[in-house]
Amino acid sequence: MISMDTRCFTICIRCNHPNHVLEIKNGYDPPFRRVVSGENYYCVKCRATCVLVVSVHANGQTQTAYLDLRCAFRPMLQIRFTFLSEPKTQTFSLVDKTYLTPIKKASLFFTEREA
Amino acid sequence: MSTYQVTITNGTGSQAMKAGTYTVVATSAPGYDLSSLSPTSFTATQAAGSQAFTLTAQGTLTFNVNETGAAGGTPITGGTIVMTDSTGNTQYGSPINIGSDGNAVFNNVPYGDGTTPITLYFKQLTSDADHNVHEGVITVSMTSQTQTEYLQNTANALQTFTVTDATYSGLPVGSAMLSFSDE
Repeated sequence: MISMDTRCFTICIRCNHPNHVLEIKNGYDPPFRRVVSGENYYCVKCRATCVLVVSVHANGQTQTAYLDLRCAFRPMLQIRFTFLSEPKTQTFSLVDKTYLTPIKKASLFFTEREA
Repeated sequence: MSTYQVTITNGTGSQAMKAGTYTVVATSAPGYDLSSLSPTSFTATQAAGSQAFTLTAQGTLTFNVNETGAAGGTPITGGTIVMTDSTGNTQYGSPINIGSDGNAVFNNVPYGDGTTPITLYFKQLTSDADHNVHEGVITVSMTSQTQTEYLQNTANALQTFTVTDATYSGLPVGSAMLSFSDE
């Protein structure tokens, strides 16, 4: 899953100038940006046609893709990112409800619910 | 759909989990009613988190506190007993009062069977005015859902005092009153 506040932008690999900001619309999972033929995709500063597409996730995780914008002259191109966030450690306590004693040995089974 | 089996040891356990909402069931907890797990859902975010769960047991342990520590002994008429850890230094739950029949009843305690008993620890905190508190940690092995344990409280022993004149050795003080306070 990717959160709605994920943002994507491009960085020119020649001059590092930040370029187009690609907005992620709600409901796209994974998100993608359609680069349509005829769009003016080159660095607005140095006119280079090769950029890095950087996607920044809300939790700070980033993902990049090298993109030769000459490919944009194809009828349609999709830039697709799939974020697989690292599972984080969850800590559980299990105590006797009446006496609050820690339960010495037990097993809990977790089943993810359908979204 | 992700699933995780988390082992709990001495009341705690941890697991790296994918973010999501989970249904939780207890699959093992000797001595406890597995269906009593609360809560039964957990939501993991993309950050580390924690959740406290509880289970309830269905056993009943009765302490009969009397002068012999066996069935039929003269019961004491007051006092308190509390569940503790094996050292007796950590108390769990509220102390249970000893009634006028000498009984202190602990409900909802975990229990096992003859093969895999559940060991519990208790400490007597107070007795009635005429008896001495049982010293030390009381270890109980719960082998059935309902169980009675007998605990001895000895009657206060008779202490004899003399009061004599400090100057004229051996001269008994004719009449005096001494007051003793428990420290």
